[in-house]
Amino acid sequence: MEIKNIKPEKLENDEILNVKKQVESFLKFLNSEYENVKKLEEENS
Amino acid sequence: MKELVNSIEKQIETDKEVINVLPRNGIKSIKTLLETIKDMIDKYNYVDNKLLENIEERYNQLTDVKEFADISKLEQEIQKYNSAIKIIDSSSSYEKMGLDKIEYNINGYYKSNLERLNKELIECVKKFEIVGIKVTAEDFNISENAKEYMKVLLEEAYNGQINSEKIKEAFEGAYWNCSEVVSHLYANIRYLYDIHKNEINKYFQIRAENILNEFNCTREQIENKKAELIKKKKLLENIDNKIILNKFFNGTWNINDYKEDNYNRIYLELISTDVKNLQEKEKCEMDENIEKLNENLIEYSRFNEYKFLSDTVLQIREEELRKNEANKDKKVKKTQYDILKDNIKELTVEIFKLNEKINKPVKGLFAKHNDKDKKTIILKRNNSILELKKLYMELDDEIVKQKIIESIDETSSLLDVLKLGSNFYSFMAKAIIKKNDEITDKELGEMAKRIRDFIMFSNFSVINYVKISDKKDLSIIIKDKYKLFGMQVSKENFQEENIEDLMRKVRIISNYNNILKSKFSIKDLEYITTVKEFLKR
Repeated sequence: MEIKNIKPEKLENDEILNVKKQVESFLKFLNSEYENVKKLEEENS
Repeated sequence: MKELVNSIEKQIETDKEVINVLPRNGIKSIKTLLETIKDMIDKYNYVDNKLLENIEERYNQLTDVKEFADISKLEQEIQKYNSAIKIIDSSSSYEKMGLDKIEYNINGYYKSNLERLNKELIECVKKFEIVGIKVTAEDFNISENAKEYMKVLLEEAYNGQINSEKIKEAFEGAYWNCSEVVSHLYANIRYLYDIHKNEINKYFQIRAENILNEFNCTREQIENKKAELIKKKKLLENIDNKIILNKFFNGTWNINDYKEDNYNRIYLELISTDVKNLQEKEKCEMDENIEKLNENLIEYSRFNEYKFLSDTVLQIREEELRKNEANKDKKVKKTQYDILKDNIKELTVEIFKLNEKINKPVKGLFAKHNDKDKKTIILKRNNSILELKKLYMELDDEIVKQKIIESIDETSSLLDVLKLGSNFYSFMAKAIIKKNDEITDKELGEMAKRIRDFIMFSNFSVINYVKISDKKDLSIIIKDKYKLFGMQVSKENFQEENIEDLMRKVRIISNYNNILKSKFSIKDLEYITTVKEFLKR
C-alpha cells in the first residue's frame, strides 16, 4: 500500500502516535538532507 | 493493525534507502535528487497532516466529556442543608450573623487596607438588615467621628462608590480627629448587637423553628442527611470523567503513576501479595479497604494540619478545669463573664452620658472656655471607648472558655473540639497566628476558610468517632484497623517523613480503581496526555 493512501482510522491509539513519530522523524531527515544537497548544488554550480 | 504499522515502517525505510543510494555527483544527478527529496517531503507532509487530523479528532472525541449533572444538584442540596445547619446549630446569634469574622477583620484591616475595612463595615450593615434591623449612620453614635465616617461611607456605598475619594477624605478627617476611629466603629458594632440582641435571637429562633418544620426532622437528622449527600457527591466525583481528566490536565495526577506496572508494584507493597493472585472477590474487598484507607488518611492528614486549633481548645479546658478545681470551695458570687458584662454595661452608660455633654450646644460668652472643657470630655470619652473595646475582647475570651467547659467533656470527639474552636473566628484567628506569626491577613483568611470548609463539607469517618479521652494516637488507631484487614501498614508509615509516601501510594491505587469505573481506560489517558503535550508544540 502506498503510504499516501494510509487510513489512519485503522490504527490503534498507540500505533497512530508511533507512526506519527516515525513520519515526523523521517521528515526531519528529509528536510536536513534537502538542505545538504542544496548546498552541494550551490557548490557545483 | 500491526501489519499496517509494519508496512508504513517498511516504506519509510525504503524511501530512506532511495535517498541514500541516489547519486550525488554532477549537477544533473543533484537536481534529480533534490526533486526526489522534495516529492518525498510533500508526500510525508501530506501523511503527517492526515495523521495529525485523525489524532486530533480522536483526542477531541475522548476529551469531549461533561461533568455528571447530579454533582451540581448534590452541591446545591448540600449547601441548602449546610445553611439550615448554620441556623439551627448551638452557636450564638453573634456567630450566626458572622459578626465574629467581621469584627475580627475590622480590628485587623484598618492598619493595612481601607477598602477592605469599608467592605467589612458595609457587610456588617447588611448582616443587621438580614436579621430585620435597619442600621443607619445615626446608629453609629458612640462618637461623632464614627457617625460622620459612616454617614459618608453609607451614602457613597449607596451609589456603588465604596472606594471613592470622598470616603478617603472622610476617613482621613476622622482619623486625624481621633486615630482610634476604627476602635470606635468596632465598639459601636458590639454595642449595636447588644441593644438588639433579643430581637436578633428571636429572629434566629423563628428561623430555626421554620427550618425544622420545613425539613420535618431533627437537627441530628439534618446533619446526617448532609453527611450522606457529601458522601454521595464524593463517590460521583471520584469516577467523573471531567474531573478525572482535569486532574491530569492541571498536573494534580501524573500518568506515569497510573501505568499498570506501577499499580501492581504498589499493590504488592501494600498487601504483600501479588494482585494477580487475588480472587475477584478478594480483590474487590481489598480495593474497598484501600478506598476507605485513602479517605481516612486524607481526613487524618487534614486534621493534623488543624490539630493546633483543637490542642488550643483542650489546653484551655485543662486550665479552666484546674482553675475550677482550685476555686471549688470558694464562694464565687459572680463569674468573670458576669463581671465583664456588668462593666460593659456601666461603661456604655458612661460613654453615652459623656456624649450628651459633648453634643450639648454652647452659646455666648463662655463658649471658648467651654470648648476646652468639651475637648477634655471628648478625650475622656475616647479613652472609655478604648476601654470598652478591651472589655468586649476579654468578654470574647470568656465566652469561649465558658463554651469549652459547657460543651466539651471526656466523651467529646476530636471533631467536636475542632468544631468548637472554629466556631469563634477571633479565637481561631489567634490560634492560627500563634502557630505562624508571620502569616498575612489574606493567608489567615484562607486558612480560616479551609478549616471551616473542612468541618462543614467532609464526610467524617475517623475524628467524629475518636474521643478526646482515647489514649491511643490517631495514627495507631487507623493503622491497627487496616492491619486487621491484611494491609501492610506500620507505625513508621505514619511518621511525619513517611506519611506523604503512604498517602501517595494509597491514593494512586484508589484513583486507578476509580478511573476504571469511568469512561476512560488507562490507555485512553496515556493517549490524551501524550497528544495534549504535542498539540502544545
